[in-house]
Amino acid sequence: MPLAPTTQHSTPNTPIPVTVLTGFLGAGKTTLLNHILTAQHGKKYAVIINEFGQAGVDDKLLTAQVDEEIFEMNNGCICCTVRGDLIRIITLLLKRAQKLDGILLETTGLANPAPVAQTFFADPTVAAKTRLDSILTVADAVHIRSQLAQTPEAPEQIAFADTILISKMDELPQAEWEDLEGTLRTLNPTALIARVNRGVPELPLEQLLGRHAFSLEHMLTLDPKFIEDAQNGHHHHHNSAISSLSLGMDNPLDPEKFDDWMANLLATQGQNILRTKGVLNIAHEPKRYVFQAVHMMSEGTFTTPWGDQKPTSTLVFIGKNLDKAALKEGFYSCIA
Amino acid sequence: MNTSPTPPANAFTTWPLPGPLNALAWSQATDAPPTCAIASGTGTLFLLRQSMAQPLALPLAAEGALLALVSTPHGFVTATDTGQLHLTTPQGETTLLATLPTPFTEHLAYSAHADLLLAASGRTLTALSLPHGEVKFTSQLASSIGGLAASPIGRRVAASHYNGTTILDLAAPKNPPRTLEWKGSHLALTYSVDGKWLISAMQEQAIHLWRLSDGLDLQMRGYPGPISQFSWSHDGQLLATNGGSGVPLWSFKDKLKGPAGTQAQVVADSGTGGMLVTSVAMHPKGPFAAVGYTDGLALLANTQSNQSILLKAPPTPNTQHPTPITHLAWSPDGLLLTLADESGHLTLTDFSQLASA
Repeated sequence: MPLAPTTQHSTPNTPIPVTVLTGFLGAGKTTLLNHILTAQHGKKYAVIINEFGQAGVDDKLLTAQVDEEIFEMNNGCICCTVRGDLIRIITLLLKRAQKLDGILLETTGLANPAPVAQTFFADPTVAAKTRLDSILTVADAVHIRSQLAQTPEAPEQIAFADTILISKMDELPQAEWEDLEGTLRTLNPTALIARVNRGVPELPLEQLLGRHAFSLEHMLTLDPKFIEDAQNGHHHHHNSAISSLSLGMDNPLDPEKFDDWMANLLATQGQNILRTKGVLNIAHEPKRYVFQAVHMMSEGTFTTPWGDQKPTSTLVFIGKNLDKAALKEGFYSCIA
Repeated sequence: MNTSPTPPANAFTTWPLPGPLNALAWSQATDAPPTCAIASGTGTLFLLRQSMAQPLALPLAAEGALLALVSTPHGFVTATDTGQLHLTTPQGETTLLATLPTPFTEHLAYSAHADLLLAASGRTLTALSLPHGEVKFTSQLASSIGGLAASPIGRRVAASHYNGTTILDLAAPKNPPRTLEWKGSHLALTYSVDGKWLISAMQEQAIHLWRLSDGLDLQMRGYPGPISQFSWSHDGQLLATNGGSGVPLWSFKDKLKGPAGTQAQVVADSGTGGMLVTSVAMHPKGPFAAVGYTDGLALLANTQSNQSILLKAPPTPNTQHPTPITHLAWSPDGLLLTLADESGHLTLTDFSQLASA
């Protein structure tokens, strides 16, 4: 399958990629934002921030303010909260003739990224005209471990991330680097971890802002071995109940059993399961089945054929109070 | 859905305009030829009359966009994304009315009874006089304004927002407003023609109705798509919306009950193929609805017989990137129809020529 190029100019029919930027105050979000906006890349980004007059963001750039309003979708599911004002602001940005190469959405230090992420699946207009590219969390190398231990928001921000950018790495003794990465991996085995140095990430911007992390076609990077290594790594004690679980299986799965199990699981425990990602080997299907969910909003599709690769299923859960034994048993009960 | 052959082509004229085309409105004056204003995301206001070879372009905001447009007896009022309000006569003379301190003005309404212009930017509502643009008052709502409607009777304006709608008395804006509560995000808003009902389009693809005499709530659910447009029939008895596979006509013939306990009559239904109505405009004089769909098709439907004629075929059938019809607007005499699609094409249909053909 030809992969889409990592950078492409938005045309009226190309959804605008949106990157959600999270991280605690002082982690270096604003420094990164200013680097992205001022670097010579010839691209046009809009920034959506929580308040105007925020220190350090150049107000000559195209910025729009969103309210913190969060509302529940009246579908009986209390975790299906979306950001109504975000829908409004994005709809307004789409009324401008000027085409955007991307939208950067900065959330406040304590905001839970889930309602932001769900907004991109819940509203038909926003879903048609934009695509959520990734959730990017900036973490301060020196302080993130104490923040993880002391606040419930920090583990959620790490757990939700597709990319974790670590700032101030030079201020952390080299002996602690491995421990830091181990801590982050325990919470999030699938995120890309990279460094950012005074606002300059070690990754090229087009890669950072073109992760396609929510694109099922691009979600072929769940490496079972790598995930297993992370799982077997040393453990860290912090007061959050957030953890991850990765499951692997070679036996093909029964699609109906899997659908029933997953639908029931997300309906009953979707509030605690932050993210689910899976690349699955479905019985009698030559193609990979790729699946993802943010809380209980899920989607899945068949993508590319397994070809020469041995078909195998990998499923990763990141969530609060995961009943790992039950999840494992449920997954194994889906064998065809 | 019965569709008869295409009418003669000379009744239609199409121009590609720089888009997106965010709003259409016709002039109100009856003593001059009707003029249609088209607000573009390039910051240009276009004016179009039947006799013109092409629309007149008035660049109002060099780097901005026109986000909202309303037709008043004083002329057209537009709002830019930088908070500028302009008044433009149908002849094309433009004056800057005001620059609001709040950018992204996205809703405009005009109260004929109070002769006031109402502008909503975020959670701020501003009332201005016309034609001079003097700010009469501002009001802060609890959350961002999703829709704005001036009452057809009396001096009131209603603004929808999260968890309800707030009604202000334009003659006494300092008085405590009336708040109608209903949980959820309320967007587009309309008053019934008799002023007895207020109807909002909700984020969760339902319409909510408040009976103003006693605040009774009614909810009409089951729309397959988003609802952003309301249009009343010429006699004020039927409310049409977009967001369905066809156009539901909610009946308000019963002044007390409204559509409670009734099913909407559906016209111009596209069936189960997933095509949705993206724009609807009821004819100002007779039982007709102009209807536009997600794939770019536009029809004129007779709301009594449910017979339709084709107004515009989808530009490129079966394309992966359809261009939905975004706006439809009738001239007050009902002889001219303007139609905008998502790619910025504007079509004028002249029904006086159709009638004589």
